[in-house]
Amino acid sequence: MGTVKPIIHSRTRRWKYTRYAGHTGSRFLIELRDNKRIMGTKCPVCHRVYVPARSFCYVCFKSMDEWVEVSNEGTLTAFTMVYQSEPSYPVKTPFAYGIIKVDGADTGFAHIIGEVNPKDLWIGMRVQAVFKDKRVGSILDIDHFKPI
Amino acid sequence: MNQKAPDENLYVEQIIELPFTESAGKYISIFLTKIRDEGKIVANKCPVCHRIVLPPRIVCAYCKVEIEDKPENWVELSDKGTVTDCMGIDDREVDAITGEFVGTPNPILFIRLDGGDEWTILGHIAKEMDASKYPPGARVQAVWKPQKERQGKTSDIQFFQLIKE
Repeated sequence: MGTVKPIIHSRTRRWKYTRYAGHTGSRFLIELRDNKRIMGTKCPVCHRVYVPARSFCYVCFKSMDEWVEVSNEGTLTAFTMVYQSEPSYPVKTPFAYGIIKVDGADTGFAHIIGEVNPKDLWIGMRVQAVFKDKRVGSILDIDHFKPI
Repeated sequence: MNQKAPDENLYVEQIIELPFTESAGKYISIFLTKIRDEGKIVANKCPVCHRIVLPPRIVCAYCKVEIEDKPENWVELSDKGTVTDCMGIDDREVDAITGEFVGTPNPILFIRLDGGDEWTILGHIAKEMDASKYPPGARVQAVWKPQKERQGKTSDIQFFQLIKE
């Protein structure tokens, strides 16, 4: 039948869902929204401080009841640049994205790094949280981290 | 879990998107191009057992021989056919995540197209919702979408409707 142009079909699977943040996650997000504070939980056995807050220590398997306030400033421990755009991203590409270990915490969490030239990023850089004016109770109430 | 309940329960919204692209393959591309451009249904003929293979395949499933891309190995089928079976849709599939119905509620017809043999069965949807109107042996014909709306899919045939002969 000869050659024909291959037929190619494109489809997109899209799942949109809402999940409960949990007891600990809710308290963490409420503190972010109402008081602009980043809170962590401290393990009674190994004294690790988890940020974002978790309900139990995954090393000791102990429930963590002690809440500690940590600093809004921290250290960049890893970073990358994002160029490929996806509809689920909260900001337009390109943007820098990194793992930030805030002062007082023993774990890092990923967030957007803004107000910086990508060439000026380095591991060990000091960064500070910039909060949104209108906060809704989401990790994105921190708009981004900016270099100090 | 001896955490105290928070003042307010918060929820997190998330979106996952998986875009993907797949090729229909060599013979299915020919099959779909014929549907799109010419409004014809084509099938393979096995050179050994002379079975009509619909949709076209590169290897005959019975003889395990390659059906080469030669003019004598292709046959053109009519868009008219005989119903061999009809499946009414009583319970529709529901997408577990979105809660929406999947597909159309039309009954599914299994049609032996004219020009084919006993193995040539095409599954497609019926025009009318009442499955009892399509007993085995009923004659049906394809209703095609307008040329401009065809996309190279089997849904370029809208449905099969009853004809009188």
